[in-house]
Amino acid sequence: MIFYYNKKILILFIIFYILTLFQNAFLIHFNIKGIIPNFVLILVFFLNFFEKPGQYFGFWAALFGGFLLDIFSDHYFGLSIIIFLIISFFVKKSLHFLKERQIQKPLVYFLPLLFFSLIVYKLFFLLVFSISYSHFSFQITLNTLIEILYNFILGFLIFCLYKIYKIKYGEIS
Amino acid sequence: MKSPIFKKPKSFFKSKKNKIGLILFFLFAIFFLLNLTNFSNEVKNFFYFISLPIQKSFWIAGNKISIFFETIFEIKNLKKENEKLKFKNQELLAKISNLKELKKENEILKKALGIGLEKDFKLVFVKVVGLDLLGDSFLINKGAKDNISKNLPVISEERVLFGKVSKVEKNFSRVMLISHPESVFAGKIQKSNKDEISEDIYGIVKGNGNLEVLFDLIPSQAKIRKGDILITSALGGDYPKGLLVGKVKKIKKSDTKPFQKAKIEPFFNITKREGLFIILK
Repeated sequence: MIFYYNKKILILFIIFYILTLFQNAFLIHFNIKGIIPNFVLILVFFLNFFEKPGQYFGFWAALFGGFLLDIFSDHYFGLSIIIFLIISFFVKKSLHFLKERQIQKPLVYFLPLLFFSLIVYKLFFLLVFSISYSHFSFQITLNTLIEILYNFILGFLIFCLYKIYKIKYGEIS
Repeated sequence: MKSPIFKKPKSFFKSKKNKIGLILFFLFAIFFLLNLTNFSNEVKNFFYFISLPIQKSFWIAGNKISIFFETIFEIKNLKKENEKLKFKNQELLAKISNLKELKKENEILKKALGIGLEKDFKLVFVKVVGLDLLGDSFLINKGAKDNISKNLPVISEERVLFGKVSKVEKNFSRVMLISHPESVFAGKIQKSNKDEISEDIYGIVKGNGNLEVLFDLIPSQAKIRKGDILITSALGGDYPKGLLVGKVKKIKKSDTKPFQKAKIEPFFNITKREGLFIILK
């Protein structure tokens, strides 16, 4: 049982590792005004949102996703880990309160939580940069909004694909 | 019946709150350890080293696919651009012949005055292996073992300035783009004799994050125009003079402020680059 659990965690790490490299080296060529989709963040959110209560894969996802993003970034080590853990905790706590229809995870829960997570992520880094760099001002530019919207739409599309997959294989009627 | 006095104490690790507290404590300890010591560089170097083959493959594949799609989207503009380039080419050929004459004159004068020729740059070729758009920086495949050191300028073969080396590890280095919030250097707009004012316009080039560059502290009476070319000015000694930075995109001027600023469209395009040069001082 423990071996099976550890194997799942190892596979999770490998998935995040490949995804981070894919994001930093492949998707970069398809940026729109310097904006690329943040699939690592979207995956961390997904795993935390769809995880059954009492499981901890969401926590590991936040840890691995944050660790790998920090490795391949220039900012202080640990920042992505911290923000992902905050998002993981926030999603789990929110879902704990939204008891009605918790198993089906409807879109009405998914979209606001995703949107809020994206905003928190972006604002966190803007705040950190404005504190770290003297002439970087904390301002929400058009680029910031486009980035949030871009990731939001992608998250929504992935949610739809996931639901179609689940319906096709009969897990949800 | 069990005696209530001899209750088995609960294990510290069985409590959920204690577990979470312990994990958070270790995370913060690791956070401080990695940021205050050099250990994070060793960890990063290890990951870059093992990831290089995969990153390289992703980079090349991404580049090829993006060029393919760009070609398709740009087909209708290709004819127009071709005509424009043919015309520009003819203009440049005429300028080259003028400059050749000036070069001859210059060499004669220098010889006569006994001035030595300016030394060429000593360059090291590097490859881009990863890009961090959130942090306005990118990774190159050379590091301390290749005699790379901090603050060395990074340019393209067209003398376009990309940035400078900000972090050096054993096998890799990180380059801070000129759009990075920490990037500040002196620049100037060269005015030609055709302009109303032929004096060069000096100011400070600042990175604004998100691939944006600003040209700031420009005297308010200076006449800058959209499309003016910005180059490095060598004041301050950050970069050699004459490197291309970008062109003026938008001007912000206020009657009440002593300085004006301009948004610059930088010439660097990091996603279309596989190789760059580091200027060794």
